Amino acid sequence: MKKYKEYMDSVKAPDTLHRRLRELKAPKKKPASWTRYGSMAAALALVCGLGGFLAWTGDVNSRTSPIPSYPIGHQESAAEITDASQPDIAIVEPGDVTEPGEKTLGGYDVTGGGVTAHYILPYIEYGDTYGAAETVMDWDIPAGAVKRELTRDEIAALMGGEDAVDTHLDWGGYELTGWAAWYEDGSFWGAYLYGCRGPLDHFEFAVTAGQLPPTCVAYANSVTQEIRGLTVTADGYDGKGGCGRRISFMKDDYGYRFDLTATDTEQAELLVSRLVRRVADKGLELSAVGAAQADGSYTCSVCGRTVQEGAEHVHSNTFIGVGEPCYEDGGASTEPYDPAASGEICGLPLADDPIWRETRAPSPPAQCQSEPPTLRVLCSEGSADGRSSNYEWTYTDTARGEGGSVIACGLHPLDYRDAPSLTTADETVRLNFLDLPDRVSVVCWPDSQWGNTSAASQAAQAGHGEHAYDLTLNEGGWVYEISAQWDDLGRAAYVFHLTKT
Amino acid sequence: MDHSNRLENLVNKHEHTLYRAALAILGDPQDAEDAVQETYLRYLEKRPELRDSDHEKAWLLKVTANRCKSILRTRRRHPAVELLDVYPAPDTDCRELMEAILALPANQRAAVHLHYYEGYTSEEIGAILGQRPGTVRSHLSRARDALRRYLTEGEEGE
Repeated sequence: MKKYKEYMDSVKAPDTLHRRLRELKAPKKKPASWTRYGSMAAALALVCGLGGFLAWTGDVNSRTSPIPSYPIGHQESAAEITDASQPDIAIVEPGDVTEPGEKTLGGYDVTGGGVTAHYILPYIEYGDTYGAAETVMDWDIPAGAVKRELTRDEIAALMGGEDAVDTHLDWGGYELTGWAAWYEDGSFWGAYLYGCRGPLDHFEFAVTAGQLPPTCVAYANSVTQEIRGLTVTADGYDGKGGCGRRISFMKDDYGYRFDLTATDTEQAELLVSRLVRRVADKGLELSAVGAAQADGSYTCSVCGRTVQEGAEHVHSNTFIGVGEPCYEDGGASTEPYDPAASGEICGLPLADDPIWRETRAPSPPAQCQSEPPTLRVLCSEGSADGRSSNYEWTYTDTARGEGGSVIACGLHPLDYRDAPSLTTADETVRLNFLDLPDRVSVVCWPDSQWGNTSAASQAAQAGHGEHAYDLTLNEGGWVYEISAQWDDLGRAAYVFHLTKT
Repeated sequence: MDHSNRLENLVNKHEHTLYRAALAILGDPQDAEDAVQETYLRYLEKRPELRDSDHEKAWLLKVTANRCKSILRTRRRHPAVELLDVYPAPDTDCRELMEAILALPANQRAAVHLHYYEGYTSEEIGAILGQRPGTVRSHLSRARDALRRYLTEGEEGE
């Protein structure tokens, strides 16, 4: 890399930049929040004045079909629109600007049956994304989950129908794609939608059961606020070419995240506000997306290919980078997998581990597998198997003429609430790998820190035995991340929730 | 020292470092200038208390890397101006190496620059880029695979 150093040494910041930097002035402080609403108040005065003028001039609609008055948080319906009887005068009241959750961005009108309903859009305050960003986790669909693409109609149905998509969400100009995934038992895991109407105008919308949808980055300066009964976390950035706005919240035990990139900041904030308002009031029609394909096939969560039930699906050179969509630059095999012949795939013997042989079906040797081996944790009370979702792995499959490297970035251990769990009175548990790693290290967090991905970890002791490692447990419930290193194959991290009574 | 003097001092001390890092990550001189300018603007806004020169440099690099991320996030195009057109490589070997580096994903380019040029460890790079050291190591490892023919044996390890 000497040439790289020499090249970079020759690069100097241009004089134009130097001059720009020297002329920089500290930005003025942001105006007090109430001043931002001066123009809104002026607009309100104008609207009220205009409304009064229309009433005075005898506008027929204003008397026979007045716009209804809906408090913030109100859930609209066609019937309510028709039955509306109160004038809409509550866009901005003096009290509206005192609490973040009560501020508004104005609203929008929907006309139907000769009646116009006005929907108030909540104001959202965004933290900036300039501060420390922390990589927290990546999409990692649980083992055994089934995933499939959603049609445009299903996406519309999920969001509450075409009317909701076009009128309430204002997604009409976006090309919509997405997928949904279900746990093995058929229960809903989550859905991900992508809307695009240009290179700088696109969004991601995700919903997951029981937790916030995974994200790669968490910003320290996010603002958390109460909006329409929801605790909404928001952040954003403003660049020269556009802006980004991101919000997340939980509602009815479902987590939502909306991440929008747009060229127009005002439009972006309106779109986010519309989404929050809609989901807060109506939620989603999760039943509209059905389930996995009837023939048992599923769509691979990495490459998107349809895989038949029972078929092994192997990736070559698959790389899931943090903060990047996954992509594949190698081939994939959907050939049926034959466990009986697995020991012969590479002509190598199975690992010589008595416990393994007694308790598990034969598996291909580690160097033939496209992902790290399962780790079994054994104690007097039983055992638990864990698969790694955070690994770098190199494998060779001479029978198929395939091989490659795989990098997978999984959940942060403290977000991995489905981690295999054991409760034991033992002082130590046995860490039993199919293929014994060269090194093992373990860190842990008290389980009181579930969800707190910034919590500091502690080292735990893992002693090297002849065929396995022994982990010394702490008192109480702890989340353990066991990192194994195979010199020739790669590394893998496993997460277990272990409780010593 | 007042803030304008402090800014001037910081500009003189770190502008080339930040510009090179931004250039390495973004591959576009104009975007790199913007990232550096926004970094210093951020400094003026935050006025952080920085312990020493190393801390100062790491803080500024971290903000620069974040600004680059934001630029990359909004940029869905190839760099408007090719780096090698603005700063031509002195010879064919160097040009090939630079082309290979510029072909890497941005997070790998960032790790390569901070490690091979700035001399940071994977832990330090992790702190700057907001990534786990293991992730940085994997970026470096993949970058090394892609650049293997340009690396001499002694330079391969961390």
